Amino acid sequence: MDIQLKRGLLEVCVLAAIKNEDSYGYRIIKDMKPYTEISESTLYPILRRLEQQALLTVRSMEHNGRLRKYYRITEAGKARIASFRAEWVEIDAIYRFIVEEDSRSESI
Amino acid sequence: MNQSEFLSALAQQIGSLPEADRTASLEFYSELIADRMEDGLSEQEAVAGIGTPEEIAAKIIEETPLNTLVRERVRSRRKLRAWEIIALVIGSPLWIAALIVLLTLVAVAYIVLWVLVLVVYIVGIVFALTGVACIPVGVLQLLSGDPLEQVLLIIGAGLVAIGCAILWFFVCKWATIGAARLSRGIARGIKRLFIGRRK
Repeated sequence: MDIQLKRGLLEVCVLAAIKNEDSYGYRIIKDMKPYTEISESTLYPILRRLEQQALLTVRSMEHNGRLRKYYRITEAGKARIASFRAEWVEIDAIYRFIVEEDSRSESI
Repeated sequence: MNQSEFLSALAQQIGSLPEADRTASLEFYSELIADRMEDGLSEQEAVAGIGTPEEIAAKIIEETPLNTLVRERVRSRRKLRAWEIIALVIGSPLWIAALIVLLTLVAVAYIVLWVLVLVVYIVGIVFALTGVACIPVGVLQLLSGDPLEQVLLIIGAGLVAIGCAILWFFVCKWATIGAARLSRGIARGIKRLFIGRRK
């Protein structure tokens, strides 16, 4: 997949992974695994970028005698998910057009 | 590789980042390794599966905006530890002398370069003057009754000299451009010596 496209998609993926409850790095990777492969070295820059854009916040909580960083989505983050879903409707329509045209020329 | 080896390798790779970014990155990865071990992996397995310190550092630095990197490099250069200041002062006769020698060599290089260019121009001028001088000399010889072949030789030589001077104009131009480019190259080399390579 195009790298830039994948980066944008993964950002929304990560937001979705923390939408309903706060999560932490390792768990985000595990949650996303069934749907798409994301490597640990890719996730960290994404989390940083999302934090810079104020789409999530970070806080440290104690777990088993050590500190763990938990990520929480912000209202702006939720809005980002919503606008992605809205964009997707249009992307889907374009995709269906392409598939139709492409299949039609094959059957001629 | 075990956890502490991994983390210190990573810390070294991201040394050019501001301290806050470095700390956050190291915390993230030590936390990740700890979570993986908690999930049942051995320390070696936990470290092995997340990528090499080089890959990880490359991705982090790629994400960091350039002005942050430059600002950090400038800042870290100005901070001097106490022993470094003392060493600089004590060693000053040595490095001041070395600096003077270096600057003198550079100045000499520049002077030599442009003197050479001046010489090229002078050669051109000599051609021109010689050529121009030959004409009146030839005419005088003609008027005073010297043999024709001699007069023609002198006037011919004069014309050749003038022709050479005209062609030499291009040599002068080429020499000037070459010298300018060389000076710029020297200046850039010195800058790189002091400021160092940018990632």
